[in-house]
Amino acid sequence: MFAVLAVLPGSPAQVILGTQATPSAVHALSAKLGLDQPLWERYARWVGGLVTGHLGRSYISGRPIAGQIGSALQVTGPLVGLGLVVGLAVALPLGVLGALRHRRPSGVAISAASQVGIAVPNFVAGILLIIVFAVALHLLPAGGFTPWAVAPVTAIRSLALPAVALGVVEGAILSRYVRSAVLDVLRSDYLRTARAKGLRPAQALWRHGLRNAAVPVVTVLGLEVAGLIVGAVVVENVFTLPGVGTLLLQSVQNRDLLTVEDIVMMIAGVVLVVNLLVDLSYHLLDPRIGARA
Amino acid sequence: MSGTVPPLTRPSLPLAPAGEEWEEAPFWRRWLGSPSAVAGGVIVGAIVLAALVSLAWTPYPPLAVAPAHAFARPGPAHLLGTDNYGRDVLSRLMAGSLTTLFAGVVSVLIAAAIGVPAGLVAASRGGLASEGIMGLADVVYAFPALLAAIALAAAAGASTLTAMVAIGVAYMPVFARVTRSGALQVLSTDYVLVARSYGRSRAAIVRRHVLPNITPLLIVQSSLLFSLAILAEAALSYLGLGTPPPAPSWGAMLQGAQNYLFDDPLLAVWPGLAIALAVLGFNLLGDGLRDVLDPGLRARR
Repeated sequence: MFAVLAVLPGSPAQVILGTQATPSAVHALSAKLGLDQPLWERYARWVGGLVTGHLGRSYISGRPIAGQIGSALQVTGPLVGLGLVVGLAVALPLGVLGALRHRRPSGVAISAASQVGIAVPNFVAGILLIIVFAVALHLLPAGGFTPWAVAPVTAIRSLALPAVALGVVEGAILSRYVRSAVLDVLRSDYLRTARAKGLRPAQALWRHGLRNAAVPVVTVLGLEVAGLIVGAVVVENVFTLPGVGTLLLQSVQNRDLLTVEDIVMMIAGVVLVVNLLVDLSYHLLDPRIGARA
Repeated sequence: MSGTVPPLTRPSLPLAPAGEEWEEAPFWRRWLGSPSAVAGGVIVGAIVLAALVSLAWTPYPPLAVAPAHAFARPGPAHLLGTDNYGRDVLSRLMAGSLTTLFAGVVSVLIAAAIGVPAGLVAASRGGLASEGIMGLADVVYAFPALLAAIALAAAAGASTLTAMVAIGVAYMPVFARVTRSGALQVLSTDYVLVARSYGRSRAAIVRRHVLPNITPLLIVQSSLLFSLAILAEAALSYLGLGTPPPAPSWGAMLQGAQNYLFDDPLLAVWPGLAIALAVLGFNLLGDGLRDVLDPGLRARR
């Protein structure tokens, strides 16, 4: 990724100074930014910085990138967290209900609703939410963000619509996996035994089934968290929230390549760590998996 | 299928290589039996039709600016109204469907052109080649597609092409995985064993037996990836990193409409609806095709 960004035409120094700049000025700025050093040296310094948390200074604003990302995370972190809560609140009840009502009209309706939910991209959902709750009903702000320190309640209010836009779509995807996992469990022998002992379907599922259904769901949940983080990049731009996604888009427009690289690698890193945590969590949910491996 | 390979005579084979279709109901009847395939087919058909018609005719030129008619309400003159420049929304939606389909086709073709051969090599060679290819595919797969596209747009500039390349490369591992697992299944069958004992080369077996048998899998996967590609193109255009204005693209139309949400919210509803409908259509088509092309799976479910 670093190599791709570095090899492509257009020197950052040229972009910063604009088309009117003299070649000597461009050269001087390149030297100041360390751009005249060999590629591998810059790469080594960048990777070292990623590991130690020294992300360098923005080519454009000159401010430390780590600080900018840090303040943006105060928006993106809660947004992704709230989105996950919304997603689970949508997916778990709908998925379990859809499985219990399998082949009945209400179950088919739930499946159809989730199919439609998957098809609506989060930025379209966000704009529709703005139209309903901000334009028509005047209930919630259409965009913008007040820092937590200034007004926590206003901050929550401005994150409400983005979190719903983000969460409902991921929740619709997740509900289909919940449904099929619960369906598999419902067909299992041990659940039939539990039913034979006199438990009602919902009771049997609650006592014996849900934990077993959790393993495939958690696998997808890891992917969903990755989807939420990347989705936040788009949704922040819908609601003009000063988060990591907005910072990334601004940096792209300014050709602030170092900031772009840092943010892209950070998001990719978080996605990898989430996947790792998912792998580790299997053992907690189903000790047999650890024993077999 | 190829002149260099003498065709095997069917009766001498213990198993029919191309599946058991001839005992099944005809293709169109199975298609009509799947609600997903019918609904998806109708939606996708409508979009393709709109795109084809837009090549020859749209109610107004999609780029024609008419400030006097800006923000016209939907009515007989402009069925879906006009935007802030007075451009006809219906005409732009029709022309935009072409952009959408084009982006989808090219992205899926790029993904398949790299992914399918890689998966075939991984399956038929095995060993180190397989480990290397699938390991690389895992790394690429772990990198979110949209993020790769944004980074590429930062470096190479925003255009439909960079978006399509990024999306295509990002979804290449999906094809590699599907191809490999499908090919491994075919390679372990008795009729491949027979073909091998005949002395057929690896390439000939892949051409004669593996490819025809995994084609249904690949078609289903293409339809599902198509919807992801449409989504990604729309998102990138919405962010200003895909198809640049004034070219008609649903994502860019949505972005333009967002500035006027309080004045004319309908302007944002139409492209949003178009994107959602297109994604829904290709998802349903993919699900339906899976039922139609792979009856065994349907029976197992």
